Amino acid sequence: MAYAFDFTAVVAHWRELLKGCLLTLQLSLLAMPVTLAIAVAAMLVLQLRETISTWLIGTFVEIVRNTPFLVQIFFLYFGLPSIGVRLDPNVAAIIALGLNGAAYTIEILRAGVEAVSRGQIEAGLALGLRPTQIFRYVVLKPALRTVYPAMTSQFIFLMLTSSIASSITAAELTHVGAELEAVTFRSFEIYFTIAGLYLVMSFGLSKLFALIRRISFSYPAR
Amino acid sequence: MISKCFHRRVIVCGLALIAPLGLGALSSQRAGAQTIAEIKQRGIVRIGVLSELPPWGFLDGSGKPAGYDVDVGELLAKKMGVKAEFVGMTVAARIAQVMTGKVDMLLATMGMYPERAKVVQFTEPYAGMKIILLAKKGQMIERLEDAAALRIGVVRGGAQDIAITKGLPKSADIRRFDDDSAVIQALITGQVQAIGANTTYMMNLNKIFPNNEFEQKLVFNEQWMGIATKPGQKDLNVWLNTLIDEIRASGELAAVNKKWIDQPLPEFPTKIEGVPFTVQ
Amino acid sequence: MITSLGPAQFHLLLVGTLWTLALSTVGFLFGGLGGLAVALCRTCGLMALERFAAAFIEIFRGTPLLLQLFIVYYGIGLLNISMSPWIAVSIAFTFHASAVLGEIWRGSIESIPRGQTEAAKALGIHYCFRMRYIILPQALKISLPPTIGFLVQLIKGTSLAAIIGFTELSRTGTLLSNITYRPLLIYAIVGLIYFIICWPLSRLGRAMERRLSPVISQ
Repeated sequence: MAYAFDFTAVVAHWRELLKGCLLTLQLSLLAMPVTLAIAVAAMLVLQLRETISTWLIGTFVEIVRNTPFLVQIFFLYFGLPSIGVRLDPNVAAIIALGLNGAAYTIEILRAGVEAVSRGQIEAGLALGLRPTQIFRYVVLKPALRTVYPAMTSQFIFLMLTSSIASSITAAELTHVGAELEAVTFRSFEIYFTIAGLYLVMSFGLSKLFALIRRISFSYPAR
Repeated sequence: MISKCFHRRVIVCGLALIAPLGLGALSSQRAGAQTIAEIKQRGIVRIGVLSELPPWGFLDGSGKPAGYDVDVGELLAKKMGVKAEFVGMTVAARIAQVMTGKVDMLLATMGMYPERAKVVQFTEPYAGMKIILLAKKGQMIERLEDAAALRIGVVRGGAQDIAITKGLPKSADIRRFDDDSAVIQALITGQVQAIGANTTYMMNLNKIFPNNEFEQKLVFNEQWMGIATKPGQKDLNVWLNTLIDEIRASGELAAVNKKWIDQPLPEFPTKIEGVPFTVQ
Repeated sequence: MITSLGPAQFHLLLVGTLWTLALSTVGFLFGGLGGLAVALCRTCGLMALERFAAAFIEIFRGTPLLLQLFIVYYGIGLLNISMSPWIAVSIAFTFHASAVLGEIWRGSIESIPRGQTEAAKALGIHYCFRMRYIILPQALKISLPPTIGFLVQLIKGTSLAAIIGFTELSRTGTLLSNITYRPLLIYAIVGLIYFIICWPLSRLGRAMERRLSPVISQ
């Protein structure tokens, strides 16, 4: 059997594929702020050093990090309706991605926050900064700067993970591809092309993050 | 000294890189058989069946494949004098599985439709069912258009997908899942309000919820299932057709139908528009 | 056909769990071999090999695991060497693990001070010996925590094999929720099983990390 590669099906549907890319970017770019917001909020709470909330955050992190994303998203999408919460596939995907990403980002950010030495905080106190100011300027921003590379590769990983949301019919690139496959039966060609598109997107995102870093985290801080 | 070291480094790296590939190749075998002779020589016929669609193809209590398709597959292997190896698969992936030679043939509850006949070779039908729209009892659906405003779940690429997509405007909210289990779950959990189904879904639902809230709304068509192979496998196709005739005549197929569907065997059509039963 | 959740169903879950473990083990072992090769290529000093290894890593790190599974799984079929789904899926995970472990171990190898390599060279210790007895043992120690972290990722990643129809733990969960019609319960159980497998590993990894890294005094 010599398999004849035929990319005409792919070429004929380039519009759908392009739209799929946009949907994937949309989904992941919406999930990223959710991730960051949850993680920063968790940092704030952790600063209080209060036992119950610390334990809660730790438990959340452990549960999310030690179960597969596929199971998490199924749980959100198929499980929650039984307690009366029905989420749209896209909303479920954004929430699942946001929560999943947050668990990893909390760990990353925690390492950054812990790297801020006690002396700096004391210096901030000595300068008469308010606690919120200390958190924002002395703890959070340097921490973000330290962990920026790790955090952004986590974000790119989040974009790649969004492909799993296709299994609950969220509109994104892999789902578009699967629908095309069902029509054209050219599974290999389509998935091959889609993998290439993901590669381009992750490359593009890493360039974008590098640019953001140059603008907002250049040292000395503006 | 330098160049010697250099060479050794290349060889070490090269070997290390190839090692896993070599291991993979060792354990591999020839691709999907082209002829009956090849299957007989191998002693095993690989049959693709669904694993989440009771009573057609599903896993029994001990995790083994069971159902209508599996029983027919067993009959077929017995007549061929080989062992049957069942490969469980999803609806969405089944055509790719036979086209890429993962299995020799599909007994995967695959409806005989012209779009598919362009890709795979069907035999004559060995089973039949009705393709229906299933929804809550309260829902008023008399024609397909009545369902245009609902969230509808289907298996991607399935017969229901084809029928519903054709019948509704582009704006309809049709959600295409990977497999039957996801579709059924979506209906039960209320993620969708109606689903493209078949008559056996109804059987299962009635069994688990005797007073369930779902009912059959529309019948799209009578679907006939054939065995699918890669196109061009002439002697395999001829042999399978002869076999289907044989088990129909002997009553063996009717027994399988009685066991799983609890109905007499339907009268199979002798030809389906756009779907040849033999290699052209 | 339609059943409640009984011993037979738990037995199915157990079998699914074993498949998940088997798939993870095979992927991790062969991926370890491949990863070592990739890491060595990536640091060997030969431009062409380094580029090749870098590209290999980038491709597998820049695309979703799900797509890698699809491509390797269906692609192998097209090469006219059909094999059981189990081997095809294993190969897909092997490639993935090779790339990720290769990148982790590259980092560890490069974190060994360059001076050690130079000293070894000056003493006339050739490449194999130098790697085997000087660089790799130290690199191994550094790389253990992220390697274990990846193992956890890999175990969770095997759940994606469910989407191409491989009956491991996740897919067993889907099948069971389909014949029991109790998705919430089933997914909770499946999630719990993954947690029981992964959590001790995560903790082990973190404990090692803490032991290795100098304590940051607060």
